[in-house]
This record gives sequence, C-alpha cells and structure tokens, in this order.
Amino acid sequence: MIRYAASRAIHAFAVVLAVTTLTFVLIHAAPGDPLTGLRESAYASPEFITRAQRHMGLDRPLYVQYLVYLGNLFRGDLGESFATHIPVWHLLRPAIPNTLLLGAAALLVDFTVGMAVAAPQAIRPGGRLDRWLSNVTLAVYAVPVFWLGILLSMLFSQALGWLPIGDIRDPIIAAAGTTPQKVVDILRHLVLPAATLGLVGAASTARYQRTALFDALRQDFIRTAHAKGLTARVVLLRHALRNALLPTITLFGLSLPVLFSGAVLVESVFGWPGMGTLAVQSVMRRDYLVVTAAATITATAVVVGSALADLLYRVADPRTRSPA
Amino acid sequence: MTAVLSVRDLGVTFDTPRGPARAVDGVSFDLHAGETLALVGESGCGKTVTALSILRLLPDAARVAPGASITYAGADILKLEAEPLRQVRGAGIAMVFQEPMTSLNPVLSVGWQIAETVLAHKSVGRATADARAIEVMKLVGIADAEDRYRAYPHQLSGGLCQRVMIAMALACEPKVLIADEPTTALDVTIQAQILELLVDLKRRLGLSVLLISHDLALVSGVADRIAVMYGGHIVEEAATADVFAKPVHPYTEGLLGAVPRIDRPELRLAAIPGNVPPATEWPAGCRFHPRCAHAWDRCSTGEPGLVAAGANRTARCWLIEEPGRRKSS
Ligand SMILES: Nc1ncnc2c1ncn2[C@@H]1O[C@H](COP(=O)(O)OP(=O)(O)OP(=O)(O)O)[C@@H](O)[C@H]1O
Ligand SMILES: [Mg+2]
Repeated sequence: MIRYAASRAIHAFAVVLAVTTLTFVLIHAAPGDPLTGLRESAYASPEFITRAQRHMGLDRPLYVQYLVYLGNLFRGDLGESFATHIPVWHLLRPAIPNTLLLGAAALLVDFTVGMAVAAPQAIRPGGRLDRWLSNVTLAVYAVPVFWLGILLSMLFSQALGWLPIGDIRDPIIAAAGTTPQKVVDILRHLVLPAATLGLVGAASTARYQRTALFDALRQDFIRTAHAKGLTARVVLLRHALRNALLPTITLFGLSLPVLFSGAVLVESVFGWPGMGTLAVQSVMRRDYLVVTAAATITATAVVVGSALADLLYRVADPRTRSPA
Repeated sequence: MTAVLSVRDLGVTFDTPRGPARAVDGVSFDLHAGETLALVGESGCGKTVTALSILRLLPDAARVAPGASITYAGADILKLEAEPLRQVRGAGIAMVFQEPMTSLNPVLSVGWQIAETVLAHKSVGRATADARAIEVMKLVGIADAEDRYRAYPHQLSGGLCQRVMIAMALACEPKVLIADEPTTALDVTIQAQILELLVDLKRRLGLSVLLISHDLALVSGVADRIAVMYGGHIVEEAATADVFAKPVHPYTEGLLGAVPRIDRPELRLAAIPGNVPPATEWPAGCRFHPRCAHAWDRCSTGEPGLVAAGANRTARCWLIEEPGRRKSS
C-alpha cells in the first residue's frame, strides 16, 4: 500500500511538472509577448522597452527563464503578473474557490441527472422512454458546451428573467445584504453555469450509467435479491446501483480534465470570475506566469481528483482489498 | 399427505430469433409437507425454468401459459400482487442457486446479505437481524460466524458461499426450500458435505424441499420422490425406491444406465444415444422418440399424456398402453 501510494505520488508529480513545462514552452512559443502592446504604442521608446524586457527577465534564453521559474515555484513563489504587477498568487487565490464551487456543483448536476436518466432506461431497455431519453442524451452530448450556455442564458436570464448571469454575486447584495441573502445570491448566479457544465457531463454519465446498470441488473445476485423478498426499490438502489457505481467512479476520475476544460468555456460565457476566465484573459495578454500557474494548479487538481477517485474505488469495491 | 406447493399445467415459452422455445410444457406436481421431491433431467430440460417460475423470477422474455397455476398457502402465486409476492419470496419459499459465488452480491458483506433478508420480512431492528444472521450461519455449520459476518463473497470458498446462501434461505424460516443444483459448482468432497447439510436441516426444521439435479445417483439417497424431466415435460414421477427398482419410462431407464453401480462394477455405463434438440424444435409425437430404443410409429405421431403407471406413479409413454412393445435388453 505504501509502495502504491509512493509510486502514485511520483507519477502525479511527473504529470504536474510535464503540464507546467509544456504550458511554459507553448505560451512562449505563441507569437507575441507581454510587451507587444507596449511596442505598438507610440509613447514607449526602444530603450524603455529594452529596460522593461530586462526587468521582466525576458531577455534571457528560454531555458534560463524556465529554470528560474521552476526554482521560484519550488519556493512557493509564482511570480508577478506582467500585465498588472500584482503577484500571481493574489490573482489566483480568489479565482480558485470560484472554479471549485462551479466544478463541484457541475459534478453534482452531472451525476444526479445522469443517474436519474439512466435508471428508468436500464429498468425498461428498449422501451419508449428508453429510446426517447437516449435521443435526448445524445442530442445534449453533441451540443457544444458554450452553445448550450448561450441557449440557457438566453432562455432563463434574458427571456424569462428568472436567474441572473454575469459575475458570481450581485454588487449591491454583496455590499449590503445579510449572510443568507448573500448565499442565495451566489447560488442563483451558480445555477446556469453549473447546469450548463453539468448537463453536458450528465449526458455522457447517463449513457455510461445506463449500460452499467443494465449489466448489473442482469447479474445472478440480482435474482437472489428478488428471491429473498427485497422490495424492487431496495434491489435497485442497494444491489444494482452499488455495483453499477463502480465503473462510474472511474468515469468520475476520467471526467475531471473534461470538467476543467469545459469550465474555461462556461466561465467565459457567464463571466464567472474563476481560473478559466483568468486564464483566457492572461493568454490574450501573453501574461506568461499567470497562464503557467493556472495550468499548474489545474493539473494538480486533476491529479489529486483522480487519486481521490482511485481511493473511492478501493473503498467501494471490497474485491480490491486484500483477501481476509 | 397435504401439498404445500402445487404446480399445475405450467408452461413457459421464450420468444427467440428461431421462434418460440417451449422450455417447460404441461408440468404438474405436488410438493408434500416435509418431503423432498427431486426434479431430475439432462441440461436444458427445463428444471431451472420450472424453479424460477415458482417464485416468478423468470426473465422478462419468458411467457407463462395462461392456464398455469402455482398454489401456495391457498393462493395462486402467478396471480399475486407485488407485495404479497414479496412476502412469499424468502419467507414462505426460499431458493438456493447453482452458482454460490455469483449469486451473492460482491460488494456487500455476507452477514449483511443475510441480515437484510431478515429485515425485509420481520419488523426487528438491525441488531436483532445481525444476531439472527450469525445464528443461521452457525446453524449451517460456518465456524467463526461472528468474524465471517464481515467477510465478502470473494474472501470465501465456493462451499462456504453456498453455506451462506443456505443460511440466507433459512433466515426467515421458510416452509419450502427450492435448491437448484446446489452442489454442481462445488468440488466433489464439498458436494457431499453440502448435500448432507441440506438433509440434516430439512429434518431438523421440517422443511419441504424441491431438489433440482441432473444427477440421479446424487438424489437417490436424499429424495423421497423423483420427477424425471425431459424436453420440458415431466416424463415420469414415482417414489425413489420405485424409480430405481423398475423405471417405466425409457428415458429414466437410460438415466439409470448412466448411474455407476458400486455393487456391480462390471456393468458398463450406458449413455443415452443422441442429443437433446433445442427447445424451438421438439419433434412431433413423443419428444424422446428419436433417442428411444423402443420407439415405433405411434411414438412419432401421437404425443403421450402423463398417465398412471402403477400405484402412486405416473409416466408419459405409449408403453404403458402397449407394454408388449417393450424390447427386452
Ligand atoms: N432466457 C432465455 N431465453 C431463451 N431460452 C431460454 C432462456 N432461459 C432458458 N431457456 C431455454 O429453456 C430451456 C430450459 O432451460 P433450463 O435453464 O430450465 O434448463 P435446466 O434443466 O435448468 O438445465 P441445466 O442443467 O443446464 O441448468 C433450454 O432449452 C433453454 O435454452
Ligand atoms: Mg439449470
């Protein structure tokens, strides 16, 4: 077990390092640099630009920049934003919980909706409801996430006016509201982005879960459960679903990268002040260090999340534990 | 003798791509209080389908013939609503299956799987159900029952899993136990132990047992009566001693020929020639006639009914009407 944990940790570290390196190289390889705007300005003299370049360390060879960056990173120093001169950590810190909140809410939507759609399908496979739900999930699955986001915001925000969009909170409530009012306000802002991100995931969860549940319901032990007089509900929830959840836990681990990349689009569509929005802004400005830090943190979250999924699998499936 | 379970005119058809498969056809029998009735026949003759019909556990693809009835405790199981049916399952009639490993849920502890059966039928708390689970685990001879309670199926041997299945079946004190090839998946030495356990429990608890097996020799020491199945029919039913002393149906005769005899080892094992046709393609007339040494033209045209073939025994064969046609071997 300790050996397993150790090899897992080394693996995780390697992944995060690879992502950091790749992002660092790619963003530098992209045309333009943080000083592009300055160069095009009529007011900046060439000497000033050279000085700024030296100040930012951009005049040094790339591998030196990279090693310096890594050295700082290991000391916990993410550097300073070129665009705003704010420490990168100060930019990221408020964005991280926002993205985690969005991601968690989306996962909740993903798995509850996915399950709720899959269960009636698996119980009556080939029936009218099954075919109808299959078509709906396929359609949602095929829809681009930003398009779904725009559609939902047009419907529920613009047309019906039920829910707010843009930012995570209403400035007036945030300034003058009571705590319950503030919580409700954040939740109301959360609904549409979380639904957008969650529904796309729910479509694939439902398709996956339908098969898993279908298979579980045809196992011998389901017949035993019926034979001993359990109610249909207990057979479904305690016996079939528990077994069908095992592959879904793996799916959960695999879906994390998709979740984060989806979050980038959804945050941009809804103006959600998370890491995705920050990353997109920073890429536009070639704000190298912010982009790299966002990628590093996202990679860490994915790696930690999939380790958690593994652990969860071990808890949920006694067969992975050593025999007694 | 009173029947605790009466099956009448049971027919089960599966819709298959090759047409309807008549897996079970016109099966009737009574299970009397405190007796062991063995249902014996080759693979595919309809034993499991018959057993599953009794607790309405057949897959959705199966259709039960409209005239069939299965009477238990004064009610027709085939007509029960969901809740009374659930109460019969496990508490009135319990079942043990062929594959103990796959018949237990791999992600739940075996003790809990027994306890949840108790909770499904009795208004008791979790502690009482757990205590009952441990009690029946001891009853079926599981050592260290308290420790084994927490074990998962993959941590136990096949024999232990089958003991757990039996404990689970007995947890709510059913009147009838249906055991579908309870020993087939086990090692030979374990087979004898499990069979012995069933016999012992049946006697101590006053159970009525429907024992299903493809092995006539195995049931001979256990069963009070034997019903022999072939091609979805019961072809002969008689007391065990009568079956062995003088089989009426040529198929039973053939099965007996396949039973090794310790007292007369010089007798060769006579296997029955040919194969069982698929259930979509029963031949006209008697379903056994293509494999029967005695068959004559009547056997390929008319289907014999199940008729009395002596005191307390029935069989489905034209030889009963025309015993002169029997060829001496
Ligand atoms: N789900 C099903 N779909 C189609 N045909 C089926 C199905 N289940 C059983 N049958 C058919 O019903 C017939 C009887 O099967 P059954 O399982 O009752 O045999 P069995 O006597 O229990 O044999 P075994 O000794 O192999 O367990 C077989 O011909 C089989 O092909
Ligand atoms: Mg069978």
